[in-house]
Amino acid sequence: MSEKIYAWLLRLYPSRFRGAYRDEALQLFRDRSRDERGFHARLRLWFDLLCDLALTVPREYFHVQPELVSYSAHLRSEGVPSFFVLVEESPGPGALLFGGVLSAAALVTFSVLLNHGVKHVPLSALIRPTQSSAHERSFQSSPPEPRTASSTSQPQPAAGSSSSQPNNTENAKTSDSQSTALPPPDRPKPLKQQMLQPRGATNPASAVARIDAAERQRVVHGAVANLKQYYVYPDVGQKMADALLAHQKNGDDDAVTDGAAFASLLTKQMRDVSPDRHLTLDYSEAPLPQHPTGPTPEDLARYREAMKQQNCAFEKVAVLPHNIGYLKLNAFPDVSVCQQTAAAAMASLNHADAIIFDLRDNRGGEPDRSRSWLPTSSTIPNTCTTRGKIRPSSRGRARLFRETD
Amino acid sequence: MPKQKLNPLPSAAFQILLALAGEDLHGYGIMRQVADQTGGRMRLGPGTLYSSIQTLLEAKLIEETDSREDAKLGDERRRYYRLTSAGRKLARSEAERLADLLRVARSKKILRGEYV
Repeated sequence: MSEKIYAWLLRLYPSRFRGAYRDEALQLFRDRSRDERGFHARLRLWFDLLCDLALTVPREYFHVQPELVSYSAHLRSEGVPSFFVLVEESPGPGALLFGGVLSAAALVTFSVLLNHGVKHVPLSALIRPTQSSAHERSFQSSPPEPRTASSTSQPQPAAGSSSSQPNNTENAKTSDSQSTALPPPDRPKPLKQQMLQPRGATNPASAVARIDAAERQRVVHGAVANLKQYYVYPDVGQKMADALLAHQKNGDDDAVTDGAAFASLLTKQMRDVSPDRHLTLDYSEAPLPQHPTGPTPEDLARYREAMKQQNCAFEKVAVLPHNIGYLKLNAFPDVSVCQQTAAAAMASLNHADAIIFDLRDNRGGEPDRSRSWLPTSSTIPNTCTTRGKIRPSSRGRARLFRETD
Repeated sequence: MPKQKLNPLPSAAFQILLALAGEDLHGYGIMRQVADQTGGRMRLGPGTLYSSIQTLLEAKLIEETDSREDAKLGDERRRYYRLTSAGRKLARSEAERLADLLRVARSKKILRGEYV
């Protein structure tokens, strides 16, 4: 019985120690039990054992294994992280159960926190109204939108925006604000509060927000105008515009009085013509900001400084073995700002037999800019086109399409 | 790590080295020998004993010999441990360090002559 108790107590030691000395410890316990008989001797034996356990169990858990020490030295010498198996035995059922329960608890906690504790704020909602990005916005935002008389003087509780983001344009986004049947609020909401309202969120105000026939017509006409003016494929844009007008004429839109539902309906009508997943018409409760007429001098100065610090998004320019040029470009910045940097980068690769353009982390830019960065066949005779020519998408990320030649 | 754990040399480790200086012993034999050396003041528990043995093995101050039975204790096979030359050297230097301390203590009239 005593040996069983001590065997159970030995389980307090780490498995490494138990694996090496469990049998010897039990053997020593048997030897002492055999030699130390009598009440006082047995009492002293257990006193010794318990003191020994209290002292050595924590020490064993803090004991660093020599394998780990040598592994750390190895790690420092090469600087390459890797895994090292210290205990080869598989975890027991208890450890697996404990790990599973702990993982489930962590997942539930994160889920609860995400759903209730922290409100998700769309990045676009944070970026759009900031003045610091006015320069970038000048390339992405839509032209001044038509506004109704009732929506020009003060913020409106609801606004709809259609964003057209076809493949060959950086951002032919069209926006169209719309007033609602609701009276404007007593005083404008703070800008931050407006920004934190997610698009299409159903708060009490939006729950009763309704649009009438006049608003539907205004939105449709605004979307039609933007499609015709900005969509990358004029013929497709014309077809989508015609479809929107046809649906409106047929009365397909009349039953919809909710802003978000109306935006979804128009998006569907456009995508029925062309399955462009980048083309959406969004509904926003918060009023959209006025579109800037252009970057201010302060914006330009800030942009120049940022490009200078980022080396105009040229992360790496190198000549690889076999005279292959490598250029990692993470954005298509404004040519007027980065002309010299770009020229120097390209000049350093003039004598390369081929060039790899690494655009995997490219955040995009203005389509005109991206064209300016791209090499021509006359300047680079053997451009590496494993995956094809560079084609910037409407979302700003340069996409590579397979080239057949 | 073993060097750090053995610098300074713990009392239990030094006693184990001293116990193995005379002959090869198994764990229980080391425990009894240490108890004899210290007049029963130090009774190494299994945790302390094998933790120290593990450290000394890692530092190559002792080494494990072939397992064999101890006729006095039954037919169970036991692991025996042997002092290495490095272990003997370390035990000697530790003993000399303690001897120096004793000389200092004697010169300071802290210890009487019968202790040395």
